[in-house]
Amino acid sequence: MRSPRSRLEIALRICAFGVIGWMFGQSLRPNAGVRVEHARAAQVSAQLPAWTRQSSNVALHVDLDAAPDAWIVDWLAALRHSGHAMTWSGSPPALALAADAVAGPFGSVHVAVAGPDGAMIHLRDDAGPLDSVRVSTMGATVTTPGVSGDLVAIAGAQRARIHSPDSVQTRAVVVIGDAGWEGKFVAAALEERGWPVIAHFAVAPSVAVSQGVLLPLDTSRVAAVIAVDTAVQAVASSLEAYVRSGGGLVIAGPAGSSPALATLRAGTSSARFTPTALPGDTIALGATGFYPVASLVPGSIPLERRGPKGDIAVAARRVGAGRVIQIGYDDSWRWRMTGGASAEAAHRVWWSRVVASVAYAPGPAPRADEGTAPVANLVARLGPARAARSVPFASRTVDQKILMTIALLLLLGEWASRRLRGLR
Amino acid sequence: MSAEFVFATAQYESGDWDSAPLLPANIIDTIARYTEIPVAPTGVIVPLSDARLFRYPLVYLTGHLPVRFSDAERTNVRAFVDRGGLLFVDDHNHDIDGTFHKTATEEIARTVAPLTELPNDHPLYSAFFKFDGPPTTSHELNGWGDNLVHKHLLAVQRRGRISVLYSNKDYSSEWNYHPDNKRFLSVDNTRFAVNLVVYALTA
Amino acid sequence: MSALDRLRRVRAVLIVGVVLRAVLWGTFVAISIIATVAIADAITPIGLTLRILLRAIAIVGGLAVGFTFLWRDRRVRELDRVALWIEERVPSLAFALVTAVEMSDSTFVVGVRSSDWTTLAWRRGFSRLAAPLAALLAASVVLLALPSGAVARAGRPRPGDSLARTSGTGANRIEPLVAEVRPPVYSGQRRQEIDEPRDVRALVGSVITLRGRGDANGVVATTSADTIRAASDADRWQITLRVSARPVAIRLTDGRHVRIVAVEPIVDAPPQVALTRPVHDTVLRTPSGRLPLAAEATDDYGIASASFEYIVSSGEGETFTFKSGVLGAVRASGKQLQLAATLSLDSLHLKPGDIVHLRAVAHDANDVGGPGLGVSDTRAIRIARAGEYDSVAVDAAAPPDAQQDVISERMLIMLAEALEKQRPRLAHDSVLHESQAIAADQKKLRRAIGDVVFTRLGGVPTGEEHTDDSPERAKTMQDMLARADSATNRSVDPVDFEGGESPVVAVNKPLLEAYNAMWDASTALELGEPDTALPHMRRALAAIQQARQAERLYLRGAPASVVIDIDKVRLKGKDKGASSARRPEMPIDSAASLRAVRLDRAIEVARTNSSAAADSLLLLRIDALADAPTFASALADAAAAVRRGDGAAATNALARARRVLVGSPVARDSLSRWGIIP
Repeated sequence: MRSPRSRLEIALRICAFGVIGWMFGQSLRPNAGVRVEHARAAQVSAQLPAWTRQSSNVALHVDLDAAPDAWIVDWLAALRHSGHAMTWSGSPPALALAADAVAGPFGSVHVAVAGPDGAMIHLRDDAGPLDSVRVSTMGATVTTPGVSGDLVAIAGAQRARIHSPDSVQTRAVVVIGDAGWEGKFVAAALEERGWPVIAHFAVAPSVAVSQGVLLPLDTSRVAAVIAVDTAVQAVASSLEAYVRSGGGLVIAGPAGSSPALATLRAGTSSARFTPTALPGDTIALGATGFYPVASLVPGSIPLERRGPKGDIAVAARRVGAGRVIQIGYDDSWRWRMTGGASAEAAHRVWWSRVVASVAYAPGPAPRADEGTAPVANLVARLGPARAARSVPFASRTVDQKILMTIALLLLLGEWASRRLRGLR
Repeated sequence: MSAEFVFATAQYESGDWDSAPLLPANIIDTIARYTEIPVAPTGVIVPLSDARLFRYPLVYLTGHLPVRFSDAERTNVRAFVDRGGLLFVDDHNHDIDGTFHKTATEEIARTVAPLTELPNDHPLYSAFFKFDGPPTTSHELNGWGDNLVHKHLLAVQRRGRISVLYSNKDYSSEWNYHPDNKRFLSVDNTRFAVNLVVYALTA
Repeated sequence: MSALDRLRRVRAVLIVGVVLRAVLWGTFVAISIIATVAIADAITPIGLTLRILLRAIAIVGGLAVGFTFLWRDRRVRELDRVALWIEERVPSLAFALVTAVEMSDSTFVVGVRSSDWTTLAWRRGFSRLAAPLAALLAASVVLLALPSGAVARAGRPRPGDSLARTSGTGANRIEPLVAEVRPPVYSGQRRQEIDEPRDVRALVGSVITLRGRGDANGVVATTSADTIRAASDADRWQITLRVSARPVAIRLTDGRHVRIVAVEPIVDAPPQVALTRPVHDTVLRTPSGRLPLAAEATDDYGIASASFEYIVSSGEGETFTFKSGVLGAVRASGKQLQLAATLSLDSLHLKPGDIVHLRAVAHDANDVGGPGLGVSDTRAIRIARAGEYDSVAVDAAAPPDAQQDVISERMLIMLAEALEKQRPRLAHDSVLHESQAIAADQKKLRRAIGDVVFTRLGGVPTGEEHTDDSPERAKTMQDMLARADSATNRSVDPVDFEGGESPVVAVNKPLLEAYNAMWDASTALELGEPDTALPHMRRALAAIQQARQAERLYLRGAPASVVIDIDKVRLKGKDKGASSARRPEMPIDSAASLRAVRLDRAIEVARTNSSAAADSLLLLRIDALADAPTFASALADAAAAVRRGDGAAATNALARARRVLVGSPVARDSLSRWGIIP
């Protein structure tokens, strides 16, 4: 009859051999992936060197509230490629950034940011904060007068970065119309803004006031043509070819009814809408009336509506490689003169933007890298988000060192018990 | 509100702003005779102190009496010029030693900037008809005023544009007649007004 | 001397000792603090404000210590205390002295050598003074051992004492730096000294002297227009320049050491003048009386003179006369002035229709750029015309027929003059033909004048069916001529009603004159003699103008409105214009874009060298001061933050400066469908 102590010793030995057997069995299944290493976003960069030294049967999982920097993603992708099961989870805000140089002499940059609805996006560059905007309908835009260094968009913990685009060459703008206040002030506004202007104002039959060489209309020297009124007929023969080759065209006010522009305009120009009650003496753009754009040509986009019936005041379309914008305003000069202290500058900026929106200004292809859409890059490199891998108990791996330690302790315990009994 | 040119006469508080009542009609007639510029058939009178001043980017001002702008007139004129308007001032006395000239030039200097001579090859003189300088009027040597032929007009220029044009040549007398009387003239003496208006509308 | 008297003497000696001790200890404390400050300042520079505070602490501390000692020994004033003190030292008195004090009776103390008491007091005094004297002596020695400049900085801190700091004297002679600003005398401002100036604001005309330690050789100041070499002044160098109306950046160089000082001019504004009486424009029925005038003038530095100016305009139509004058002129000083005078309307000899324009003017005392002139609003005082308040005369009347004839007569004169000028080149028949054409028009005008006159005389107008040679017309004209001959005296004097003529004839006299002259003119023109006709034509013109003045039919008010039939006259002009060239307008923002580039560069440099970046921002600020003051102000904050090394403040300040310069971004909360249309 064995004593309880003796039974204990036997049990210890059995357990020790059981552990050794477990270790042997584990070693026969090298790719079982029975261990998962976890890390949070803030710890990932510090963990990477340690993970790199892990054997490939260790699964790696990262919990992300924001896509990490590109180099971290690259490293994780490399670990994945080396055999580690690499997963990540979390809901980093999907953020993407694009920046284009605005045509014109001022070096403005147009930034488009895609982000979650309702997210607050902070935009900054190397010089400091630029602006903040809340996203609705998937994205937001910021047009900033100048950018220093790289652009960074920040939404919560998520950042996206893009290099500022190179500026584009500024070409001349043609302003053509009858001698009148609108043509005068449009040309003045653009010149004050820094645009080179080629002007042609008809005064009498065969008499005009001109500046620069009007023809030929060529995208190599002309960025856009502004037709202030029906005097654009003078360049009718070359205008369509110019626009189709990439040139920009602004059709203003009564020019919309010019036969020369029939194939280029965004819609027909209706009878001028003049409000019956004019607002005071401080006048805003369009407050004195406009030529509604009706019967939009297929492919035209209405950009601005006004008046009690919601008539289209501004519409745009593509024609061949060029762009055309049709604006119903024929007396924006009143806005500049009677619109109050800041109206002069606002008029200048508005016309500069109108021209920039259609101007021919080819530049280098926008530079996009993994920083411009970090979450998209993350998904592309590591796959979509997944829950951390759950390892079944049977296939769980236990650290060999622990098992060895247990086995040694068991054997030691049995040997100690026997020696204490005076046995060998 | 149409796109036509409207001739505006400035009304100011201190003097006889209406001393050339037929001039607007005469100039309107002239513009219509030589150009295709849409022009309103009558002129308007606009107080210098009123915000309506800004509806007319070319404004004509004349008189015989001292010119003293009130604060409101000064503020308006300054803003008018800053936004791109052109103020044409003509001394109806044609007297550079006279009170109108002295006071008007002082007010312009205080409100905008000091007047300087406009070179006689300025684009104004070739904007439509060709002139070698400001055309002489029949009044400069009529025994009144300073009895001088004034060789230059004076101007304040902003970024290469005339914003205030000042004349001692008494165009107000020269042009202050009913347009029907043009038939008596072998040479239309209002042609320089076409240059002025064309310059204002295109420069 | 009684015992009590001697006791009082002892008390006096003790009091003197106590006071001296308190003073000595107090002085020691104050001097010690000053010396400590001077030593600390020599090791590391202490700012002016702190030094002033420490000096105040030294003074207050010294006083406090002195007072403490006085308070502690305040009992020395009490006689009984002094008596006790003596009793302690002279046991033989056995409290007799105290009793004597209590009883105020010296007889209690007899046979005692009271002369020893004073000696005791003196000994006591000296012994108690020894310690503070020694301490004070030691502190004074320390103070004397320190450089005088250091002591002055601690003991008499003032702006501009940077140069007195002796330690830190190294190869860099432009640090420390002191700027002395001496404003122009007329401003009444005091001289100012500024330590370590970065940005000096000074009135135009001020003299700025920059001083530093060391030899002047090699120290140079450069501005955009000038290079100035330093001059020596004992062991200092100095550079002097005058503040002009343009901001300037002074670049100081000493070998490889560079330092920038910005000078921002303060422009002397002209006086502000307000005319307080009369309050508004006025119309007076009668040109008599005395009009009180009052005005207020203020100036930023001082008014030199002020007065009222008036211009009297007389006349109407095309003929005016003017006279001007000055009232109430005063020479003044001070920044505010109340001006008063009285205008005697009688002395101006005003007539109905005259206008008096009044204003107040003031000159300031600026003798650098010339006195600034400030003027008030102008008030117009008009004398009502005769009949102005009659209801009949309120509405503007149309110009009389004579007015139009003036225009026509002038045209005829021009035609005749032109014909006369061309006459040498034309054949006689041509001259005759042209002259007769002018004569025909002259006749028409003459007939129109005649109709006007005849109508007024109550007759019937001749009408077109009558020719000049018809007997009826001739008779009428003979009559008219007879009346014209008798009524006119070929004079150009104004109409005079006082000759006994009937008002109708008197009023029409100029028209009759004109009629007569036109008759003579047309006769000469018929003969092909435009030169002979011209004097008559000019006489007719003058007569018509007189008629217009006399009748005063044309009132101020809404002028006649002539509506042009545009379609009828469109492009009917004989002459054709020519195409012309337009000149481009200069960009408004070109300076801004250049400054934006410079700002970007400064931001770039700030990452590695904050001092250089701060200097760049300072230079940019100087450039912008004249035409972009808001941007210049934002740059000042940014430069200060960069220099301090305050990263967060610098970032915000630079972002703000950039916004001011190039404008704010425009944000939309959605993706735009087309370009950048706002």
